[in-house]
Amino acid sequence: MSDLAGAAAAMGVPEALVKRSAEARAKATGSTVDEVLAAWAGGGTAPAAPAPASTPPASTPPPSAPPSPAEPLPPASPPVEVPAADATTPPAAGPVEEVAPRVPPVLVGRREGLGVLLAGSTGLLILSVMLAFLVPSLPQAGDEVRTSNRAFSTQALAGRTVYSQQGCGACHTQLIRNVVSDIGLGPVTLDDTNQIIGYRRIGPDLAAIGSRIEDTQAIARLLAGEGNHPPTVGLTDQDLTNLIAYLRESK
Amino acid sequence: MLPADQCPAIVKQTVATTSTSDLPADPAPEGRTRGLLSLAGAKPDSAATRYLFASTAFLGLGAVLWLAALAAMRFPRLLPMSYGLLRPMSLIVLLLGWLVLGLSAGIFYVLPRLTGAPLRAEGLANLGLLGAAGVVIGGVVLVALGFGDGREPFSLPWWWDIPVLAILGIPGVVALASLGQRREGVVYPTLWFVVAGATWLPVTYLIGNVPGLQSVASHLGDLVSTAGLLHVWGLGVATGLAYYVVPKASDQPLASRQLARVGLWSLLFGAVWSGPGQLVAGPGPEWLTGISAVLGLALPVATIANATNLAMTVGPEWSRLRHRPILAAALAGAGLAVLATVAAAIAGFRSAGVLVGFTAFWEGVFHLLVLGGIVLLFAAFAWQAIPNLVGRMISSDSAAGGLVRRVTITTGGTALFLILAGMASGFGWSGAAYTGLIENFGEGWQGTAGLARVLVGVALIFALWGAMAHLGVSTSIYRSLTSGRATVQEILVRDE
Repeated sequence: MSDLAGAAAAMGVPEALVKRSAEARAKATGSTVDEVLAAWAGGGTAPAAPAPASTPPASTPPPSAPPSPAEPLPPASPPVEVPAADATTPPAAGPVEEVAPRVPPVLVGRREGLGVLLAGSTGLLILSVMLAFLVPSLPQAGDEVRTSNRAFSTQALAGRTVYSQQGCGACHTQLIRNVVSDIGLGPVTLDDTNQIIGYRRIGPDLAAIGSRIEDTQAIARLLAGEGNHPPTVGLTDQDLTNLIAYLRESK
Repeated sequence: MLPADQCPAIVKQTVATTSTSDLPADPAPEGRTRGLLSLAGAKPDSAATRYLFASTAFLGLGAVLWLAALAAMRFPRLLPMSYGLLRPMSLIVLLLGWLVLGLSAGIFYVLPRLTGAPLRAEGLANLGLLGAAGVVIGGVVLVALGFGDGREPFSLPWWWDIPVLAILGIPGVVALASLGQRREGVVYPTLWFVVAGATWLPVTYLIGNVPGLQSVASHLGDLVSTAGLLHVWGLGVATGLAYYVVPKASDQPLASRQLARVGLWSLLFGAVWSGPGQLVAGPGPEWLTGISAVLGLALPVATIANATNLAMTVGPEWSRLRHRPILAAALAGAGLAVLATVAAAIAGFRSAGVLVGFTAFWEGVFHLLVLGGIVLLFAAFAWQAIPNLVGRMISSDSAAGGLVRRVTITTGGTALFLILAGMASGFGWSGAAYTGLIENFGEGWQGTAGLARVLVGVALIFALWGAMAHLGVSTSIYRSLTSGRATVQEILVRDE
């Protein structure tokens, strides 16, 4: 079996393509085609090509080099490129023009373990969840004597659900902090609050809205879109009644 | 599962082709299932390509929805839907649609290339894509119809969280199964971030959606979950992909593996603390404020370490490579992430937190991180991967470079004015409390509402420009995938 046939058989590609690739490799490395074919057929390493002048698309690291501690570099031998087709040109229905030789994977050096990475990552996840979520969520000392837990009626509790579903907490807090900026809004919100704390205060805080405004009609007009408030869409009369009850009982 | 030494290796072939239709056909097995189930086929890189394609659509849609949400925040009566509904809808599309699918595409792309082994469970991943698209679209509809639960960030009802959770587990399953059979001895920094992100993703989501919690616990869970999702999954995996893309695109070895290690562990240390930091001076233990402020400082340490590492990698060749949009996007994205995390860390301190808490400040930080930093890091990955995935290249380097500049400027401008608006609100609240100008109802605080509105209005102008830039990025990736100029492609083949 000739070197060409042997290389083609070893790589599983047609002889014509192997020959073209060998010619390109020989030209790039300054060796002869026979040398390249002999190396490929015998499973040896072909002469390395010089570093590419321009960055080619990513491929495998050179098989003869030990793995770098950093990310793998592009290959020492760039793939043979053909002139790029115009974007407007319809795809040609031809066969693959060039197939570079397959490079067998090489496992060199110590096999790094994933155990430390997984253990560390999971450990930090558990620690973060405990410190930032679980422990702060436990009842705090003094909760038994300091309360802001309101005794909402059944209707108001249904209204609280409407409040959540409509995303009211995206614009309204129900949270009065012990800071200067919240002075005058009402009693400070404590750990056992059963209101919707909210995420932004784009509109006014509603923690004690029931003590500031008792006119049901005024609240209804706002919910209907009066002033600068967006209109509520898709709510039934019962939903609105429940929502107003929740706001009125938020004192 | 096969032991690693018995698992077939994966090797890369480069083929020069004039179009993707020239690629050798995947030999269809006898009796191959057709229709939707054919998605479960495990042709190498099929999952990465499909996820990238789907995520691109969600990026465009999410950018438009986020713009609509900001518009509804500034002009409450402009749209038929309130900010409270538009915000979670946009976040579902942006975070669950684009961010999860897009970064999953990145994971599926780098795993076989960095492990030397085939991607495991690729068929599962392909089927999961259908589920993910359904979950995202269904979730948006549910929230729009008022079935949401009002919890940050997605407001999805608890029974919809179950399929979401199943979808979010797929990247972790694929990553760990593939890594278990790797042929490559070195575990590259990219894989560190991938492992951390993929394992944290479902857990952080679960924490934010535990049903039946009281207000404070529910609120803390939401904030921790959102911060973990954004920082470990979003920023972490995107940074990991940059650690793959930048050395490839620059033809330079990574500057420092040690610095990458600092970046990873600092990110994990500081990931969740910008969440509880938003509840400063509110209910909950006092010590939480202190620990949030201190550990929150680890987050900018991480982003600074990673950005520095990437910049040092390109540094020696910057004069030669500065016109490459892939590198510009990666470095600009890493830089914007630094700014966002520095702002978040500062707001974790009590003095700043009581000022900017619950204001548009946090909208600005989110915009800068997600629609600025992570979008650019994602674009860098996509532009680098597309030639190898489909044999096409980005249509124009100059156009891509222009997109990088526009995204950087517009997200920076939007974030700046939202942050200023938040500070104006915070100072105004404090001033009003001292002067007695608090109104009983309506705007809440006289005097500064006008200034905050003006600043949010300016931010909205930048956001409108930015949405066009994001649509441009989305279109650029889509067009490159479907009609880009043909180029040398890299295909993965089993070496059995």
